[in-house]
Amino acid sequence: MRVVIADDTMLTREGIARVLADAGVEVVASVGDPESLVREVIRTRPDAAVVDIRMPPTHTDEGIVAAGRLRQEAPGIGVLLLSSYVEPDYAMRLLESQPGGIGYLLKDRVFDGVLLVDALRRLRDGETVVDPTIVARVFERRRRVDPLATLTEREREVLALLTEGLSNQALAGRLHVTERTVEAHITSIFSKLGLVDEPGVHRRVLAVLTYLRA
Amino acid sequence: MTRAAPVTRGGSGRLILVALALVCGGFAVTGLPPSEPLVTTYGAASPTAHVLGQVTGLSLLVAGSLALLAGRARPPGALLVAAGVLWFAPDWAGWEGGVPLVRGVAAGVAPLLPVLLLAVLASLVGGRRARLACLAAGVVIGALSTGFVAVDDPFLDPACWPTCSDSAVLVTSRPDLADLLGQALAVARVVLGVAVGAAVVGRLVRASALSRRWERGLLGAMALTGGSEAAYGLALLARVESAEDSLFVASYLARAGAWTLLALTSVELTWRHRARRRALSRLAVDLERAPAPGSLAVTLRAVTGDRHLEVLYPVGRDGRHVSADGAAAAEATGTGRTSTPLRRGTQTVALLVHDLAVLPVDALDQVLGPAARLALENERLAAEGLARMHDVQASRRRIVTAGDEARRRLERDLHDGAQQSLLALAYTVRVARGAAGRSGQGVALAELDLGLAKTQAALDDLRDLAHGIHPAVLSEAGIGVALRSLAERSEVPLELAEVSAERFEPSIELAAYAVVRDATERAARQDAEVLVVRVLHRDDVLVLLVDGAPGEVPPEIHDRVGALGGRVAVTGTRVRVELPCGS
Repeated sequence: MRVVIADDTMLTREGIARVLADAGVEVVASVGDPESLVREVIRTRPDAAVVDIRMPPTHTDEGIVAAGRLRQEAPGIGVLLLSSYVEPDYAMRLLESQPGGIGYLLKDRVFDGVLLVDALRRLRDGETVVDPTIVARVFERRRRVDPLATLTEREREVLALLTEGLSNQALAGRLHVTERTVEAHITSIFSKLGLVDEPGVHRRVLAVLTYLRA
Repeated sequence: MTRAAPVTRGGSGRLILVALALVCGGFAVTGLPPSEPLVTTYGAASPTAHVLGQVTGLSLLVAGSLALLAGRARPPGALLVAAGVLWFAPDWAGWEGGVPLVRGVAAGVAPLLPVLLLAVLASLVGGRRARLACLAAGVVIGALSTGFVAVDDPFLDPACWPTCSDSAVLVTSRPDLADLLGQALAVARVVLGVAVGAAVVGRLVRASALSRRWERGLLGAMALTGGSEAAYGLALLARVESAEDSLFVASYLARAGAWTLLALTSVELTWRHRARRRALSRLAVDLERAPAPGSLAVTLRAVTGDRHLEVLYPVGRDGRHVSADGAAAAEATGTGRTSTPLRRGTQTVALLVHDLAVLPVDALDQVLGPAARLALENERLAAEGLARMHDVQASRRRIVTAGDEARRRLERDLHDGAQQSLLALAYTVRVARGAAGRSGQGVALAELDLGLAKTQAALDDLRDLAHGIHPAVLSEAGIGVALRSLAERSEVPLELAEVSAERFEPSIELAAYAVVRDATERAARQDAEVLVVRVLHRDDVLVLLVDGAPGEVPPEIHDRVGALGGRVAVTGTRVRVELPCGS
């Protein structure tokens, strides 16, 4: 798999490059700003890009804007955005602004090469990636009446993985069950929560996050 | 700074002028014969001209007397009385049966009438240049006129105007020179009339709306008068003057109408001036009765019609000025505006910023007695107290916002510095761990795993620390998103019943956030069941309602909200916070 890295901090850029190289991923370019990112992606046509959300010039949401441009310039590319903040709202804003093939990971998740490579593969396969810490935060929220209380232990596990952006097939692989079983769980969960199952992983994740954060 | 011309004081001089006006008026009405065998005055030519001429002269005398009695400064009443006297001068000059010396003197002074028009204008404009121009015109026309009567021999005048009788002031008979001087006088009249007319129009165009409203009647009348005098001068250049020539009769009637209008507009000004003085006197009485703060400005605006008039009070020794409510005010005086100090003893207790044209500052100064000045001083002290309070409030706000800004920078620095370095360290350890794993170094692998876990823990701590210093989500996404994020961390269920999605000033957002965060902490300590939060935007106020928070709201929350001009009200377990948010 070929990857482009964009982060304005050289230490982080090099760190990610080393972790990826260590995991056998080819880093074809490593840049520090959005303009260079778009240019290098057009030039090298990678499978995925790892992009810091905060980049010059304003250090706010340049990464998200760049992700939108990448998806126009190189359709089919997976974009994994990195953030230092455990803020579900940032992840949701990202999912809302992009049609799919997009991921939101915390930066300190990235030094686990296996996890990082897994996230990039999932993006390449058209799945969505939402950091487990974010999902955990949404799930752990204290509520007066907890809708998740009606779910079984197994159903909560399925819902969490589903919210992280796994497809039915990936879910089945992760839980060592058949896809039919996964589908049955999902149908049960959605009916208990009163949700309509949305077509497509991306929209399904958004629907669940929106529901849980309401 | 331009000061209004001083009010005529010295009562005896004033009364003498008024008496002169009365005597002259009496003579005009009773003494002058309406008709003569020879028609050498316009009054003798037709009853209409006679009546109108009498009305004109008398109204000038009355207008001048009224202005003198009312003590009005601009235009001076004395000028109007003089104009009234000069208006009758041609009648005296043309009085065949009159005393020759009177006739001669009257003929000599009659051409000075337009100079008085210039003098009225000069009194309105003020300043050295206007006075000099006026003096120069008087000297020139006076000299021409004196020369004229000294050489003009009525016996040799075929037109017999204004008299055929002998002249008591004739020095030597020089018809050619008399003709020349007569022409020069006519030219001077034209020049003067046109100049006054143009100057008046210019002043009307340039004046502020307020002074235009105040003076336009008088100025309009002056323009007409200037025009009619110029027309009369042109007629004199074109033909030989005679009361039987319809051109001259028309010119006389026009002049009479214009001067009458001038007198009437002056009376109207006097009337308004009196009303203003009365209102000022009432104000002075009101001031002595300890009025509500700011009433001086309100009353003065009503009295003068100057809607932008300000009463400012000096505060402290730094030359700062504030309005009655203590709000800072620039003593900036725009075009046509000026400032006038009101004093108590040697100390300035108030400063009036007003239109140049309208405020009878000296009149105000006269009516303000010691008690009124003491009241003004009281108002100044109250304004000073309020100003100091505003200062303290502004200072509190600055301290809070400066602290917030410092914390925001600190968070940013932690994020961009220490956090990035720790991340880089984690990557390095991670790669080392990979290498150790491949080369089968079991002990190193275990140690590196431990190192990675510790780095991760340090990163988590650092992130919590940074979030505690300043929640980045608040400044980036606003109070609604930040509260949702807080709800996900809170140990006690936090329900967001209604939260405005709007953005507010950073310090406002931070204050609201701090109130809710404090409530969640107190609720967690006291095992509360649920917190319900509402953030509403009502009429420039952010209203924050937190229900279910037990215990006391700590002083730092009160301080923070108070510094932003807001307030905290606690009823039972409901905390209600109001923060003025300007927009």
